[in-house]
Amino acid sequence: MLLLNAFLQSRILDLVGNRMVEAIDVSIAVLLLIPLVALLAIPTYNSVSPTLGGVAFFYWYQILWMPLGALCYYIAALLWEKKDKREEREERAANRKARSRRKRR
Amino acid sequence: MIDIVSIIVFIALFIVFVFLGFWGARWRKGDLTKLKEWGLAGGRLGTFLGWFLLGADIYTAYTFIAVPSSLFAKGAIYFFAAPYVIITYAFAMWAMPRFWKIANKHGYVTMADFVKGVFNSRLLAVSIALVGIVAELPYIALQIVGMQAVLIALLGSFGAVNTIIEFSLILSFIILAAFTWTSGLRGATLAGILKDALILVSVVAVVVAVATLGDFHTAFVNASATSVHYFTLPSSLYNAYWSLFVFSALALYLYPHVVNGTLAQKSAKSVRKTASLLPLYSIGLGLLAMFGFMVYGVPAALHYVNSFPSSIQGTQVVPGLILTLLPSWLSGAALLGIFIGGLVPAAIMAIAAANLFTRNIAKEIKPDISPKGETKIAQVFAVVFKFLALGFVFIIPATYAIQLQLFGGILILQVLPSFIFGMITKNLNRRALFLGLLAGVISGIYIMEAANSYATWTTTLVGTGLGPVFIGMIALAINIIVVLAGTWIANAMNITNALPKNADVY
Repeated sequence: MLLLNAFLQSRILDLVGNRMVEAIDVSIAVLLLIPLVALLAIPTYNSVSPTLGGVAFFYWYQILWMPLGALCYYIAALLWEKKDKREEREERAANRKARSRRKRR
Repeated sequence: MIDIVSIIVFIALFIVFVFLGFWGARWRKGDLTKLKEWGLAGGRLGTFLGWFLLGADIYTAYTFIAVPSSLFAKGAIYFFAAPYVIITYAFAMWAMPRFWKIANKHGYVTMADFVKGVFNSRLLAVSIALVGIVAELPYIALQIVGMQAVLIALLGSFGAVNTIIEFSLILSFIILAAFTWTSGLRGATLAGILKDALILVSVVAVVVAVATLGDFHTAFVNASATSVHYFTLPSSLYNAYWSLFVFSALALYLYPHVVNGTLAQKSAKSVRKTASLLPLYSIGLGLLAMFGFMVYGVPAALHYVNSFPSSIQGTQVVPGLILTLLPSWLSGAALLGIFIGGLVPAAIMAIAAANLFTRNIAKEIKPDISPKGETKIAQVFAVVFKFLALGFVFIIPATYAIQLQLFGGILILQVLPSFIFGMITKNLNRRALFLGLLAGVISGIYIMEAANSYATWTTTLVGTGLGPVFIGMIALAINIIVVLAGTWIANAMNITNALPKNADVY
C-alpha cells in the first residue's frame, strides 16, 4: 500500500514527449486502455474453443471483459478522484501562500 | 405461454408503470413549467439514480430486440455491441466530466450551447442542434420497433399477422406520445427504476430457462448447420467488427439524450464513477445478444420465430424464447419489461431532441419566448419528432432495426470535431467545422444509400480495399480532414473565430 502510494506520487519519464509525467496519469491512461486493447485483438479470441458451459470462446471472452472492464475503470475513477483532490489541495496551498505574501507587503 | 394470465399481468404492471410516470412528475417537486425542470430533472441526481437513469437510457430496445435480431439474421459480426458497451465508458470517463464542469460553470444545458460558447458561431451551434435532433429520430424509431415487437407477441394469436403488425405499431406510437407529454424526464426516471427491475427479472428468468431447458450444445449444432457464421468471425470481417464497436463507442455519448443524462447528475465526480460502473450493466446485453443463436436450441421458439415473415422474424427471437420457456405470469412481466424498455428511452430521446430544438433553434430565431412558452414548444415538438421518427420505421425492415441505431451513429459522429475537439482546443476554425459537419453528414448519407444499392437499408457497412467497414468511420474521417484543411487555410489567411484571444471559454 505504501509502495503503491509512493509510486502514484512519483513522476516517470515519458518516452514519447521526452518529459516527466505524473505516474498517476500514466496509471489512469493504462487502466482505461487495457480493455480496449484486449478487445481490439480480435484474432486472439476469434475461436470456438475453449468453450465455457457450451458457449464459444468468442462470446464468453468478451462478456468476461464486462466485469473486468468495470474493475479497471472503477480503479481508474478512484485514482482520478485522488488526483483531483491532490490538485485541489495544491491549488488551495498556492492561494494561501499568495495571500500571506500580499499581507506581509 | 401466452394466455389471459400473461396479458393480465402485462396490463396490471403497465398501470403501475403509468402511475409511477405521473407520480414522478410530482416527485421532489420543482416547477414543471420550466424547461430545465421538465427536461433535466432539475439537475439533482446523484450517483445511484444517475446510474439508473443512464442505464435506462442506454439499455433499450436496442439491447432486447435489435441486437439479438441482427445476430439471428447475420451472425457473430453483430456481437460488436458487446465490446461497444464496454469501451464507450472509457471514452465517457475522459470526456464527460470535463464537459460537465464546463457546462456547470457557464450554465450550458446542451452540446450546442457549448459549441456556441467555444467557437462563437450561431450557424455552427444551430447545425449541431439540427444534426443532434435528426440523429435521435432513427434511434427513436428503433424503440418503436421494439415496442411493436412486444405487442405482436402479446396479440399474435388474436388476428391475421399483418393486421396485428400494423395495429401494434399504431398502439405503440399513441402510448409513447401520451406518456412523454405528461411526465417529462423525472417521470421517465422513476418509471425507469421499475423498468430496470423488470428487465433484471426477465433477463435472469430467460437466461436460467434457456440454460436449463434448451442446451447450448443443441443450439451450437443446429446453428452451425445454417449458412450464417454464428460462432466466430470470418477474417474478412475483422475491420468491420472493430470499426463498428469503436465508432459506436465514440458516438454514444454524443447523443443529446445521453448528454442530458450526464448533465442531470450532480457532480463531475459522480459522472465519472457512474460511467466506470456501467459496463456491469452490459452483461445483460451480452447474454441477450446470444439469444440470437440460442433460439436454435429451443425448437418451439424457433418454430414460433419462423412463423413470421422474414422482415420481422429477428425481432421475435427474444419474445419467442420468453413465450415458450417462461410460465405465463412471468412472460407477461418480462414482455412488459421489454415494452417499457422501448417506451422510456424513446420518451427520453424525444425530450432531448425537443429541448435541443427549443433552446438552440427556436430561441435563436425568436429570443423573447417566455419560460412557459418554451415548455409548450418542447412538449409539442417532442410529439412532432416522434411522428418524424415513425418515417424511419418504414425505411428499414424490423429484423435489421439495429441499422436504425447505426445510422443515427453515422450522423451523430459528425458533431465529434466541434464537441470533443472543442473541449481540447478552441483554435479550430468555425467555418471549417461547419463545412466538415456538412461534408460528414452528406457523405455519410450518400455512402449509406450507395452501400444499400438505393433500396431498403439492411447494412451500414461499405466495401473498401480493407474489406467492409462501418460507414460512420469513413464519414467522420472525411469530416475531420475538411476541418483540419479548412483550419489550416484559414490560419494561412489570418481568419479567426472573432473571439478575444484569452476569452474564458472553458
